[in-house]
Amino acid sequence: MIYQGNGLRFIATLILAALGAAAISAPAAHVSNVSFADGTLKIQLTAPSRFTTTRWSSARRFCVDVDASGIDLQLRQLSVYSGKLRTVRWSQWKPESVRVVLDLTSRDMPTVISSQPTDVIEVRLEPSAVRTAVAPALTSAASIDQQTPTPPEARAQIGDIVVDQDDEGRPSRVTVHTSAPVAVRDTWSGNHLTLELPDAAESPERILPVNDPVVLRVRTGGDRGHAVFVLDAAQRFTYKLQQLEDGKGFSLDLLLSTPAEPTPPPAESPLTGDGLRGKLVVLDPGHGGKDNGTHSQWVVEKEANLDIARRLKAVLESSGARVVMTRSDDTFIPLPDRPALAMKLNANAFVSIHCNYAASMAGGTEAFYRRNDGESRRLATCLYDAHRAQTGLGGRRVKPDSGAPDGGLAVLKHNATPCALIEIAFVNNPTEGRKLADASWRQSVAEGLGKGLERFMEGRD
Amino acid sequence: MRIHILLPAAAIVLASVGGAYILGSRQNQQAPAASVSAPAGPVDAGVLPSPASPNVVLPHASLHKVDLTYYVTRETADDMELVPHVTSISVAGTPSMWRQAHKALQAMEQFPRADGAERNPLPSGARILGVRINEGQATVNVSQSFVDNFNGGAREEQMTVYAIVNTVAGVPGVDAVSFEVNGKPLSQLGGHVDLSEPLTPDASLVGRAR
Repeated sequence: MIYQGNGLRFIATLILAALGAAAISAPAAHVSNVSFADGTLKIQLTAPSRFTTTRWSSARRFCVDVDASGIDLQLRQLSVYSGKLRTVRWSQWKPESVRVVLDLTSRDMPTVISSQPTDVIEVRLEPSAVRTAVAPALTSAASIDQQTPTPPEARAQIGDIVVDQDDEGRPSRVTVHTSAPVAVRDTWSGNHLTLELPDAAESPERILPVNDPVVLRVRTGGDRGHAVFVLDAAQRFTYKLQQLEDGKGFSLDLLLSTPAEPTPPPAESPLTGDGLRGKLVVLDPGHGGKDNGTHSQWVVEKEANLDIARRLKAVLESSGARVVMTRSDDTFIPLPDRPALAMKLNANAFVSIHCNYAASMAGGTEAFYRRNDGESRRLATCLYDAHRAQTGLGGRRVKPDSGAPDGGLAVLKHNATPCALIEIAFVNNPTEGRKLADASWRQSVAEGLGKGLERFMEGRD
Repeated sequence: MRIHILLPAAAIVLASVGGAYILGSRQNQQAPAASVSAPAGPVDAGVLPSPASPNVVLPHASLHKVDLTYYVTRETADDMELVPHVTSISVAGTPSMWRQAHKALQAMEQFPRADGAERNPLPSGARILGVRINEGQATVNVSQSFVDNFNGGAREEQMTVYAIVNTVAGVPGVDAVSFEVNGKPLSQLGGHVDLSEPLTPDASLVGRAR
């Protein structure tokens, strides 16, 4: 009995030791969910586990490294619209560790409120307005039109907005949190899905680019005294709208089909030569963030600039060029920082992409070069000529940005890199505005500019 | 007896006029951002605009005309350019820099929104609230609508900015121009021209010079 008992104890000890060793060499926990609501990010684990955090305040980034050996999620990131948090993304960066990265909007670092070990890591960002608003009584969508308006100070407010993305990076769900229960009414207007929240106070305009081929962006605003939430889309899509369990907000499950007009980067380069191989090109999509650039009923300039630049990047990279963008998303970049990046990287060329506007019904493409700079002039000429040959649009010539010693356009005049600024087309010209809104035309523009850069790199005029 | 009474009175009047004019000129030179949009009223009729001498009428014979150049925008077949226009003021002596800049900007602001191919270079609804000049550097204070209502590309922004810069820097003694919006420094208007540093005039943007 004693031996038997000791033997069992010994076997049990071996098993426990083996389990312990296994636990040390490969954590059993998986990340089972990542969610953000009400100012708090929750990382759900399948078993209690330990974690470490890293803060990069200058880069506005906060990392949580979790002892976990797997991720049980189809999603790969969340795009969040809140005061402090922009995106949350995660990956299995080591066999035994999952890294969750929070991209923040400021240098203020969040606070971890979970103790070690834990099966739910909670990261608290600044308390949002959602928590402080006064909650009105729950109302039903059916009674929307009969309601007495609630005083603005007592009305619900739109808080955090979360966009879940699937494994292919496409939006799968949009969740809008409100400070109090709200009713919601959905209507299509063209390709814009509008969700009216009659109980909620008008929201300041906030725009969250989604950059999906179907769902382009989501935004908040106000209409006749109440909040509206709008999804701007390239085409109508199927969705499932439901209120959150506590009534404080709603979610939209998006059932997105393949877009009618797919815009993948070309599988093969449209370029023919080898002049771009190894060359470094800095692309500068004009405007961004708080600076919308110009606009018309067909297009917002900063969005068109960014889309063309992304397409051009794909074209150039498929021909072996290296490409750095001054901005890759809807971010405001100060004017002096743009040429500074090209000079810091010692780039072979800097191309600033813009769209034009005129009080008159002007049209056409024009390209600017840095005054008294032969290489800059050659670059602008190559871009203009190739663009014109590709799209048929030109007509406004290649021009110096100024004739004065300290005059000129900001991204050119202090730029030692061969540089050009091209105004692709006029957003308010009916023909050109519609073209700019057409993804296939923007792709053609990108291919034309790619040919122009190839021509420039080969030393041709 | 009658002559004896009038002569001292005339001397007092002349001394008052002269003193008020000198005072007015000095105050004009340093005048802080006064509204350019205020009605011109009797400025060209010989009444000094200074608050210090609102009702002093100078002898008409002492006035002479000073031409001032301001710029508007013109569309060409494939570009835009600045077009000079001339307005004038009638003054005795040399008008202050501030008064010249004030008057030229006022004329520009009052130019029609559209006049054939030419048009007002300011954004719709924009106002120039004032101008001040210190040691050769002018600062033009514009309204918020100047920024909010600007909608244009690179060349359009150059037109709007340099219509003002060339106009103000056309005043002898003014070298460079910077911008404020409602009294706060303006570093960017349309995302193409850097306004964070004072700008000097750009003659290359004026018609036919390019």
